[in-house]
Amino acid sequence: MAKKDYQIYIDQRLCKGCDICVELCGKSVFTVSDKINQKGYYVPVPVNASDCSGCMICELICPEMAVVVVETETIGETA
Amino acid sequence: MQHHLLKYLRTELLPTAFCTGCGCGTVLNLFCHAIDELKLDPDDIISVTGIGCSSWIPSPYFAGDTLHTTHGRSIAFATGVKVMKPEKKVVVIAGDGDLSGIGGNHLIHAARRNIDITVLLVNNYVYGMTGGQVSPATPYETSTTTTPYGNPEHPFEIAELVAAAGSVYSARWTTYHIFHLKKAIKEAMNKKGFAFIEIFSQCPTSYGRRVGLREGIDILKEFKKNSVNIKNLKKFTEEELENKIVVGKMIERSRPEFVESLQDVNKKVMEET
Ligand SMILES: Cc1ncc(C[n+]2csc(CCOP(=O)(O)OP(=O)(O)O)c2C)c(N)n1
Ligand code: SF4
Ligand SMILES: [Mg+2]
Repeated sequence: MAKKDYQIYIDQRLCKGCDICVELCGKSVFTVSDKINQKGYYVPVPVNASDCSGCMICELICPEMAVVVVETETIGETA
Repeated sequence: MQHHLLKYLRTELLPTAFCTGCGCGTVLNLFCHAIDELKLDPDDIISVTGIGCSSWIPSPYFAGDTLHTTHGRSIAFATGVKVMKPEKKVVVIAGDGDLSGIGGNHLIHAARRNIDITVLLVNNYVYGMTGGQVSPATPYETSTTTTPYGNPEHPFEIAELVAAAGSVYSARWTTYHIFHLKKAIKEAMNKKGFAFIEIFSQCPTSYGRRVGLREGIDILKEFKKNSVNIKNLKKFTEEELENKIVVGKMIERSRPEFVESLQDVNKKVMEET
């Protein structure tokens, strides 16, 4: 099966830092930011996006529609 | 890079007015995903809401025609809309207080008539917007602002009530069950007749804070822990099912639809006179 590659974007204007994505991602893709953004929220950072399985949990459950998972390319075959 | 489904929202009003971690936003998110997957044109949808935080899900955020009505009366208004515009998809999204409290009679009678509307009832256990007063959906013994020593009443099982009243589709999911809920919204939108989904949703501010579940994620974890799929009911005793959330599809069937029946009657009368 081909392994797919994903990019994750978090909209800085929309995220309110509820951290639901951080808690529910099965691949621990997100980490809690230690930097406060312009709006006063700690927006998660998708530091391990390369581990993303494309399950879409974060995009679907985000209460602010701030998270998008985008399939970027197919990177070769795996067993 | 922004969300491809923001095209369904009035983006000038974002971020939403919902509290951090509130389930109302997840319902809006899944509603947009369902609309997109069904390839529905927002111009063909009329959303009707009442009063409460959950009533803000389509109005003002969903960029289609919306009717923001008085507390409890969204189904009554939606009935009028559907009778006059049967070609439109009519969706009601409102809270447990709105639809099962003050508007409870509209709910059961619309189900009995089997009028072709889709109703998403966002059950966050309380009157969220006004500060967390007890509602007909508050669990037994739960502390709220108006039941500080515990709720002496028992909640409605709303999805079962609506199924018994005559709806052709009734289901219950939570904002934790995103894939099931998205599928259910699609099924309900496509169903001819009264289609109902009770959605357990987190209100960390007016409910969670009082019961030691301060963050949205804390309530989501409770939903995960306390849900039992209707398919597995037999594995549990009645005692074990106390305080569990039974999720799944309560009913799916077909019955003559109200607006069509009304049109048939009108036609007959016109022909005879
Ligand atoms: C006729 C009338 N009675 C009472 C109110 C006050 N009121 C506003 S919202 C609300 C309850 C909202 O609860 P619910 O429908 O569960 O929505 P939530 O905010 O929890 O999403 C009440 C009682 C009102 N606006 N109108
Ligand atoms: S009060 Fe509760 S239901 Fe209302 S926006 Fe805040 S968290 Fe959501
Ligand atoms: Mg409520």
